[in-house]
Amino acid sequence: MMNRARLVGSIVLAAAVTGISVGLAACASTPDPSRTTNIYTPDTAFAQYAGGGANVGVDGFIALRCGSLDCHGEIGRPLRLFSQSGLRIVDDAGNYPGGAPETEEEQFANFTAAISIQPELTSKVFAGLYDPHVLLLLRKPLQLERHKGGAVLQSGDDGDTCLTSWLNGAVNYTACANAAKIP
Amino acid sequence: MRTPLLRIPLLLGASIVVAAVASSCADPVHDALVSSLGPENPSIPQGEYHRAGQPCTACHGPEGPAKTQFSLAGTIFWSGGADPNAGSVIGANGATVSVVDSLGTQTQIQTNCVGNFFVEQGNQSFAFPILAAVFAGPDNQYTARMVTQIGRASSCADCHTDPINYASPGHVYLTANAPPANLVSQNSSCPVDPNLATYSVAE
Repeated sequence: MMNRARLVGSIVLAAAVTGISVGLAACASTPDPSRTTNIYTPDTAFAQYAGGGANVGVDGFIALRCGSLDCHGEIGRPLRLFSQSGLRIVDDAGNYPGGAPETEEEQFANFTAAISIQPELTSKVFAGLYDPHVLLLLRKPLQLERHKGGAVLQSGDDGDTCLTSWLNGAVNYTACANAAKIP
Repeated sequence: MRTPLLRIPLLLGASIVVAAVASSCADPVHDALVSSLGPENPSIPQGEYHRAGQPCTACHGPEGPAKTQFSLAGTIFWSGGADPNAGSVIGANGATVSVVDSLGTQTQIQTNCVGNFFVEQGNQSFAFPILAAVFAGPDNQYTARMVTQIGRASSCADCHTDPINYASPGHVYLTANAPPANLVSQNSSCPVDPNLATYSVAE
């Protein structure tokens, strides 16, 4: 009887120690709200992203092809994208999907979303230290990493060329314009 | 023979396992979505005419609770109205929903008298993304084409909720003007009223 009681005591003690260990391991340090991560981009990165005039930039392609309301135009999704036909920034303009053209504020929000998925690595790609295809921004649509939306780009196609040329510092506007066409 | 002292931790362990397994089967997000749709309209029996304008595959999807599963479904309305914020509430009878999926398969589906259409999962599935357009009237005089592709949503109302807001273009509708009276009147033989404004519980 005494041995069984000790056995039960040991089981309870082991369970308690395991529980406390797991609980402690699950605790993270308090987030530091003052911490920032710098992202280094060329001076022309946003201008090339946004395009303008006759030039269709990166945004003209990914906002239309990736930013539909059921994909990256959905609130809360990583790489959240605003667009004329998709999600709109809530402001005094009261824009809605299908309404007024995309605003510069929305373009800048998209630009920020694109470069901040992997901020440190994106800075190194813009600096020419890595091939752009190390980034999730390309690996996901090329299905080199799991992508819920599937393989929406093919290696070397206009979309791949548009993003790669932008990340290499000289966007190919023709490729971006071709990639922005929905069949 | 086991002593009561030994049974306590065994029962406790078994209870924890059962509770963990039971809780892992529930999807609170899906449950909340289904609940948000509210009760059935008492004037419209469950079936092909019910819940026009709602996201069909919230219930008719893989997580249920409906018995039938749809691969694509939705509701087409006649008019967006003069005021886009007013929404649209009269279903489009006999409209054609034309879909092309990413494999190039073309499918055409007819709406019923409240504007609902659906494709059962067992009959056909679609390779997303898909493109969609809607046609109605003589010589397809009323046409609406989606500007964007549909990436994964299997219900129109996953995105096309009413009223229009920053994240929704409103219901799918065929004309921004007043509904064509001669075509709307063809709905008179419908077993239920296709005008959602008729119902106090509508949507």
